Amino acid sequence: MVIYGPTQNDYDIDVGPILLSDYYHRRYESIVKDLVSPRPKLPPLKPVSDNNLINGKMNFDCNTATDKGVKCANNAGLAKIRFQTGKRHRLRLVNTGADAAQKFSIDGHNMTVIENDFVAVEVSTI
Amino acid sequence: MGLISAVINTLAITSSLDQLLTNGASSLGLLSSSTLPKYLTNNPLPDGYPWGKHNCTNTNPYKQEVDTGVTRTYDFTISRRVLSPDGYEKNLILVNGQFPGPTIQANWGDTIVVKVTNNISSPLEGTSIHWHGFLQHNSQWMDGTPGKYCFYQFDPI
Repeated sequence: MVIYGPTQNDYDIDVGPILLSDYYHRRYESIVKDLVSPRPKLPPLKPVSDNNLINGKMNFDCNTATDKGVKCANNAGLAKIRFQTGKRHRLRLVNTGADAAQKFSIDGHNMTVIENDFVAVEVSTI
Repeated sequence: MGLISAVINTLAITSSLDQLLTNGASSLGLLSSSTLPKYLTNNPLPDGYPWGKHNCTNTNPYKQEVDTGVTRTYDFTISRRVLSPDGYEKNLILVNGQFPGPTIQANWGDTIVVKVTNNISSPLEGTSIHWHGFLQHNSQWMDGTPGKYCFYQFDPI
């Protein structure tokens, strides 16, 4: 979801949403059942994610699949984003995951945080 | 060695599956995916901007809402289908045949309307949509109440 509004920091190109998400191969019914099942004196059964997706895409090593009976292809494909040399790009990072915090960085480039959920923030470059 | 690593690098960025098999009708994550504008312009532009002279220092979302009078309406059809986002085949819930779902776009001060059609089958299943990141001021009942509404309307503040 993109809401356009006044900006305090100018940019050249808006590359749009970059969705970061943990990803589970198990059916969600089975994950929820684990999470809400009573386990006296024990913490809830927390699922372990199988992968992490960027814009709904990532590669997976099918040899590590828990259920080898499921159809699986290696190198399904990574998300690609087009950048132009010398331009300032706006990235709209969204954590669409269920559990984990997400860390995001771009090798060899500065990233400046300019906004959080349509709220202006004190600008910081990391 | 250089040739081998070049081949491996090429393999790593080459997709073995077509976008239709990994993400359905979504074009996110493709180089052909379009960039976004600075704001939507199919609307009045008082003082050059959809939201006029409003900015984050002269407005307070708790007291005074910016209202452009513009409504953005989206139709979402929810369905279940087999896709392989990372190569591992599984049942996914899709919006308009897409995983991830479509991007809603609006200007500050617009009203967003989303008409949701539940087309989930095999098996049938109820659905509701929760909208992250909004105050839902005066529209608390639009924040993902299951069952009652198949229609969501709220202001993006």
